[in-house]
Amino acid sequence: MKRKTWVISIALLLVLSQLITGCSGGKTAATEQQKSEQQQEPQIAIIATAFAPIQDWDPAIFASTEGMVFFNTYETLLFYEADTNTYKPVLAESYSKSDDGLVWTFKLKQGVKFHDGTDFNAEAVKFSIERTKNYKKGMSYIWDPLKEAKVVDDYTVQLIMSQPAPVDAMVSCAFAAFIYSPTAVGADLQKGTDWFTQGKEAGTGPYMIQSNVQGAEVVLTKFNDYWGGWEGKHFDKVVFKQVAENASRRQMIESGEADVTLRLLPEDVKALQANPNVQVVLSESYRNLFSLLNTQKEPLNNKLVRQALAYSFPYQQFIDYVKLSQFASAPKDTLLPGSLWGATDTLPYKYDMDKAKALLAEAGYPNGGLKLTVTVNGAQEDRKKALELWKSGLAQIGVTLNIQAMTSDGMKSLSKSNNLNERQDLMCIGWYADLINPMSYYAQFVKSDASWNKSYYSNKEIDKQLDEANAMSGIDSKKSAEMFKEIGQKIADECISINFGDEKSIMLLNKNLKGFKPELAYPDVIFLYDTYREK
Amino acid sequence: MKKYIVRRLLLSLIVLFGIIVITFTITRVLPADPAEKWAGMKATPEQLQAARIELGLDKPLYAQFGKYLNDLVQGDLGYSFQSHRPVMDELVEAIPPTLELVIVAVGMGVIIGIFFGIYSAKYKNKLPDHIIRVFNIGVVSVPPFFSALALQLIFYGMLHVLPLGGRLSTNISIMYEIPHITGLLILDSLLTGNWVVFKDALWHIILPVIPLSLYPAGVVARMTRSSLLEVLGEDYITAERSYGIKESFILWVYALKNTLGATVTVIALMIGRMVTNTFLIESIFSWPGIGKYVSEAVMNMDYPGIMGVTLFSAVIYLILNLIADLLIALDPRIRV
Repeated sequence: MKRKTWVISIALLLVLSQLITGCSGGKTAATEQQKSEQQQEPQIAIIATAFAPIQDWDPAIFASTEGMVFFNTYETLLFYEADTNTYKPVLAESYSKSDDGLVWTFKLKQGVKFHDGTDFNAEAVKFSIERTKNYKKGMSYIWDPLKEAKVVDDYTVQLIMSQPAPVDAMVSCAFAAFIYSPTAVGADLQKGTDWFTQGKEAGTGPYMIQSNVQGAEVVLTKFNDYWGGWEGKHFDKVVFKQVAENASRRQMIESGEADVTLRLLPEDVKALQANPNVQVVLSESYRNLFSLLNTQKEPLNNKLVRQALAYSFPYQQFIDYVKLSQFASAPKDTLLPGSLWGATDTLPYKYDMDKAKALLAEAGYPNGGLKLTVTVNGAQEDRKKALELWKSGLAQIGVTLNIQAMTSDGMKSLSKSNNLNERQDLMCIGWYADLINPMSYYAQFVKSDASWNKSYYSNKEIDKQLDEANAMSGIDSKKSAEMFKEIGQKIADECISINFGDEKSIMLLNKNLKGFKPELAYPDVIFLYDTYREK
Repeated sequence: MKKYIVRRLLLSLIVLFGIIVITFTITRVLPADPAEKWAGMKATPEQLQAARIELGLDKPLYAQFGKYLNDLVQGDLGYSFQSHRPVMDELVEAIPPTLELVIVAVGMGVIIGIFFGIYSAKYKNKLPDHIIRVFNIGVVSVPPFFSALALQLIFYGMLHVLPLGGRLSTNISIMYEIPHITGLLILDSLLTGNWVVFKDALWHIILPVIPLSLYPAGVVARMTRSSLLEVLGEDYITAERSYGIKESFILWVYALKNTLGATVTVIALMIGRMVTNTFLIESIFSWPGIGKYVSEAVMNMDYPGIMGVTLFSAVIYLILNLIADLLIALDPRIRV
């Protein structure tokens, strides 16, 4: 028996040692093979994402975080540079518009190829935009004002609007604006989507899909015929890997296994700022956090009470304690993020508890005695923290804030309750601009009957002014900005929302990754073509 | 025997139907609008209405259920709200990684468990027995995710010996043709003789499998020990000893064979339980299996995805239950 045990144990050890040496042997064999196959090792960038890299494969309907991958495989006609508030040429070399803002003419770049080898031309632009519009899903509503896309010649296309609209913002939008190959996709909508969902793409961008494991990993490889050429230092391949655990993503960026990661907790980011292996890049964004006030329910149906609340919010403390002083900036507008054009220049409210008390007294509540419920998405820690902070301040002026953490669906369901008294007093929401235009907020939160108008505010005059300002954005953007600012001031006076703060975008990079420039209009996107690894 | 199988199958179908009705009702009763999920958070009222019609939500409940059953019978589990891909396709992709994890974990757990059980019984009430019994209780009590995170920190974070997660190294998955026959990477690479992928896949499965194998190991060790002790007290064992048959032979061949009946039943049920409980491990190790899929589906309220996984779990449970019952029936000592 003892001998048998020895024999078995030795056999097992032999097998195990074979595997271990075999493993490392396998690795050297792999690198030798790699080396003989290529002159030099390919440069591979690894990006660890919090969510699945691609959920919706069809560029006509995606509405989530796919931009991270798609902005490396697809391109738009124009590119919005937020710093200079100008539109840069990408697939369109130049453009002009008619005086009434209804006809926009784009001259297209020549010699550009799709990844399937077919030519990029005006037909492809017409196909992509009309297909996206006709799909009526995702963010395709940005194309509602489009009447027709007309092919003038192979490299000139006209977008004809039924009413003036900000077409430059539309063709440079982070959603629903990609140009893709008609040959690859085909005329049938559903069949086209089925083609995409096999893990395929049909863009003009510098990288193409090499392989993908659905929901887990996407591998891009360089498109040799890219119109920008491959002079200089570029990555040959890019891997987007989903690593759902915060702790794992942090370990990956610390060890250098990942070149890029994002969506870590503020505490992690602060710790990594001290890590010499990691670059932490902070930038302005069009994302913010705010609360909508129920204008149809007592006591918030009284404007004075709403304004009192606006004076009671601890704006600076929110930034200092919840956002660790650096991950958000003070609001300039009661609804819009301050960096969005058309936002008001200064917030008419600041933290002033005496003023809040005085306004409450004026409204008929000299000792407070108010009970308010606020609904918030329970999964969002920083929102809950912000509300807790506010709650403790409000208690001092006799206002009890009851925080109800729910799912997003629960919040929406409650807000549509037939019993008006059951509905929430405040709803805490995080939002971002999809179309870089104030309407991306006003159309959802302020216009009468808008689907997210959870302040239930309805003013036909303001609706009209908003439509006029929006139409003007297609004709004279400066005038449009002024019109929106005026509306913003009126909305601020009505105080239907309280803006907590404008969030900053946070990108964590390996210290050797160079060439990254954050772009407000394209949040969380790295244009990998511009980046490289420096040893 | 045949009658028994047919009766069990019919019962299983009835149970399955009951589960379908319950899950369908729950998804329609919860406070969330599937049309909003389908059309997206920023959908316009027109888009929402179009989505409602597309999903058949404007029809009465019984008509919706009828359509759902009709699709189900044809293997159509609907389209995921998140990815707009057929749920069946997503399940077909997500199931093999989990199966691989569970099979390896249960296999390892069973082997360790049987060894420990036998040694425990052999050295009853002596030191090895005590150590193993402490181990059994310990591993059943420690939550798998805790051991997973600890192992990850030690073997990746500190020692840099094992990979952080995933099924393959990034280099390997990019540079090599990954064999795909069954979806079980270890098996596929063995079948195609791709040793590089085989070793890499093996290396990656070690960390996730350890926390998952602890529970089966503990349970199997305990069960093997107790049924072995029972068997070892039987008369025929004494008779075999009196014939002069070697003790080790008696232990490992004759006695063990008679303990496996109950153990195998428990293993079958354990596999069923594990297949639907791997989401924490899969999340920690970024393993693209059913657990990760369903946890994301639940967080995003993706009803077709949730229902697809629920049905899959129900089917697996029923099949494994049936196998367990059949295995018991095979034991001639039990009259069916």
